[in-house]
Amino acid sequence: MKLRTSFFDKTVFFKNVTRFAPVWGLYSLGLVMALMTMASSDLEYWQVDALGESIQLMPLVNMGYALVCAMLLFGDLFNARMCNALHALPLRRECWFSTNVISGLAFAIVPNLVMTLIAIPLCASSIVTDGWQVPLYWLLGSCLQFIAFFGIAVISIFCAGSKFASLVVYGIVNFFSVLVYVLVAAVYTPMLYGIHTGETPFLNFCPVVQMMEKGYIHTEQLWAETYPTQLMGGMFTVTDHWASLWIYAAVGVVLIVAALLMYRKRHLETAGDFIAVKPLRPVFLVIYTLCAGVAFFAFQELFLGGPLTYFWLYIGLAVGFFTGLMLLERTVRVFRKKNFALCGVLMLVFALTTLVTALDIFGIESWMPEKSEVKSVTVYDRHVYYAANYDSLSGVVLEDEDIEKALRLHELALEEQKYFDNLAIGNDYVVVDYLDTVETRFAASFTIVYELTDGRQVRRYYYAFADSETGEILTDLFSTPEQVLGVVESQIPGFAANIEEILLDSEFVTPALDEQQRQALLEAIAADCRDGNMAQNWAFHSVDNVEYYLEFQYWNAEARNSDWMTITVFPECRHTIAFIEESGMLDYEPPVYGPLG
Amino acid sequence: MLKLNNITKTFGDFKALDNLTMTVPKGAVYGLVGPNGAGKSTAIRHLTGVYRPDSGDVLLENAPVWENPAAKARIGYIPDDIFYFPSASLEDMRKFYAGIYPNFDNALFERLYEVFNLPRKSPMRRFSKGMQKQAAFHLTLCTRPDVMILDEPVDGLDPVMRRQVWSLILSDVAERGTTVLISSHNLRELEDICDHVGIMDHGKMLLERSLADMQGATHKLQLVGDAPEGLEVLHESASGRLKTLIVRGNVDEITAKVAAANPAYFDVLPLSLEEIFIYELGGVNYEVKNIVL
Repeated sequence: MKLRTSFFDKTVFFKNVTRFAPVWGLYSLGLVMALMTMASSDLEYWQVDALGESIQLMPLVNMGYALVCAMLLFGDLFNARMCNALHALPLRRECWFSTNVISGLAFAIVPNLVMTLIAIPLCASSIVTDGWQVPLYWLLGSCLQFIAFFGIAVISIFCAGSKFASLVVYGIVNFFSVLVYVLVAAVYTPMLYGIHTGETPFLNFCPVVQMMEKGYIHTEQLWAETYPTQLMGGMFTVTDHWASLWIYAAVGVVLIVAALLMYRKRHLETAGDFIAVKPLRPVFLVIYTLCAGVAFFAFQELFLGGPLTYFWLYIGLAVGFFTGLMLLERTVRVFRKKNFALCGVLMLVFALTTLVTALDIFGIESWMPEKSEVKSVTVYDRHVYYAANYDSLSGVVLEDEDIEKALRLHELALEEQKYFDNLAIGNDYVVVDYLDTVETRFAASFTIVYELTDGRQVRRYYYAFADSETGEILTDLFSTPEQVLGVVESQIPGFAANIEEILLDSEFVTPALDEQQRQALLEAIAADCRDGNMAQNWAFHSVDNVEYYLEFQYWNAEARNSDWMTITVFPECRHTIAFIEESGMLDYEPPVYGPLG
Repeated sequence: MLKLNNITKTFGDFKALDNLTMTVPKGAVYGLVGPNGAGKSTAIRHLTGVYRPDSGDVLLENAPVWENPAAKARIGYIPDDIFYFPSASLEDMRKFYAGIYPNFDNALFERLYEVFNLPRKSPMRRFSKGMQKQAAFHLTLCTRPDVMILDEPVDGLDPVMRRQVWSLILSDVAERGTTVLISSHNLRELEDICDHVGIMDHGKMLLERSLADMQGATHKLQLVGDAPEGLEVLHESASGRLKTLIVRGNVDEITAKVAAANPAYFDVLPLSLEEIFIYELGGVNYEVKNIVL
């Protein structure tokens, strides 16, 4: 009597297509309009370039569109009457599910395909070699992204029992890693001196951020050799970021299969409940409570200020717990003894975790490695300002016997902790009131990165007073020629040989130095480096003014343009100051040009 | 034969169906009655394969109904709260049903169009409740079901349309031997059309038998004088010297016992379905309370 299992029903499919035509129609229209905007550019290169780059932007579109499609197609599960009516029809759940999934994929893939077919001739007529392939890559990328987000949306819907709940669950699933990051970085990390929680490891688990992080198609212009401003053509290359996209799409497929398994077990009477899957209700309640706590905490920090931050955190937790219960139980009558007790337990657990962190029970804050555990140490000055990206900073690498110097630095930093406990990590430089004498002192932040013998990497972020032993060690470390000039030298090979011009401040007009003078200037800088006076951070010198700025213009062969590097000359840099004063750089009179003609 | 076999269903802490067993014989017109919250709609949602039972089986001709499209295709279901796709017209729903139900009869749809005469192209959400019910009958009858399950089917229909609908259903029963299960609180109406009745309360089946058996098993005894010993009395009331007793048992045996007691006057009368419902449930603490407002 049983029919064989069918996974597609054309009546349901066409019903979906006609019922939700306005939505996929609007999406199609949006794509075509975007394409028309790109096509209106009269530069035949930029059409292809923009289409290639748009693969990186499509995750934002797909994140929203996938949720809309999933909610439309599976939203009938949230309405008890509709849900009952549909499930009394002679169709298996597998058939409903897979037909709806196919419909959802069609809502995205068909408009994308139409867009691709229109874009192919446009890109084929561009000056980019094989430009017609770029729309195909766009189609692939966009579809893979959609599958990933559609999978997340479908599983969210099957966890939830109402449209609002599915939106909340979808947000939590997509941004759970961000939530954890905010919780750790805002609540726990500030309790530990020297510890900083970077967002990168957390954002690695945030699909939309990951998908948008890198490009998928890299386009390049080809310029005429004899006439460099004439664009002759272009070429594109496919980056290696696609692998992650395939993985995300595969995860999306797995989530869709998981949603099917949940659907087969789903009790339809849960329609209208906030969370449809019973075991997930406490999980939701805990996450929701933490979200509310962090939201109150952040609100206090951002808008109110003052010392009651943790008080607001606990208020937020209580509000979150009871509003979460209201959502789950669909009633405001949740203020019962049992729930107060549960809320108390939850807050107690949270309080214990913060207490354990604050008291550093696990010794995270006070941790210092043994010398034998350390393979190498790199000490970074946070304020080498010609390196904009923190991660690209070149630090001082200490190995073997020098490791002890780093350990001493670490030890001193922990001893000075009481002065810097409440300072946020990463300020450019700070001036603090010395607690005992109300004396103003300069302090700078620095970073120690341990490469341990077991392969781990441990980072610590500290402050140091310039006039303390810590400051002296750091000034010494950061004044080496490798630190001052070598940073640029390592990034721009042949820097010294490629100097085009040297200017003294922006107020002076200096004569062009000849090769010999340039070399002499670099040697003077190197001499100040050897004397330990060239650390490029004001705070290390306990001064609030500098003598000169030396601006080096050099040819950057890789970037095919001229770049600038500035070296600050502090009052202690006697060799450099002597060169500047003796070389006549200060006395130079710019030529006076007469009237034209 | 449509059967619920030891079905138990709980919603959170509430047990909606408690080991419910129910049998709807093939070709019967079965009235499912019970007080509000007895579990009738829940039982119906199990019969139509909407709800999955916590335990027990739902069988149509010995085949499970749950996730069985072949069985569900033979069941026509009109719920109490009808719902269509929000913007669908009657014509849209015809196309949809024709695609889903293998036996959908388009010719019958056209014939019934003459009966119901509903707007074909207007969105059904604009229909009145009664018109939506008519549309449900229109569509469901065209699926040519072997079993029709109707939850408060004529609620919202005007008297003429009620008669029309019952007439259509009964002619379908007569012509095709359709099995019909009706859940309703209108017991007078059920009495006219049902041949089997099940009375539910607190998720259980209190009583289930043919209407004839039910009416033959409980009687209203009116007498002046003392009632004899040995009668199974469900309810007793008095108005002056005239006593009215609701007695369970065979009419001949009751008559013989009462006659032997030689009362000044007695008469044994049949009970209506409504009276059976009230007195049977009176035995399980569901009776009309004498509340003075």
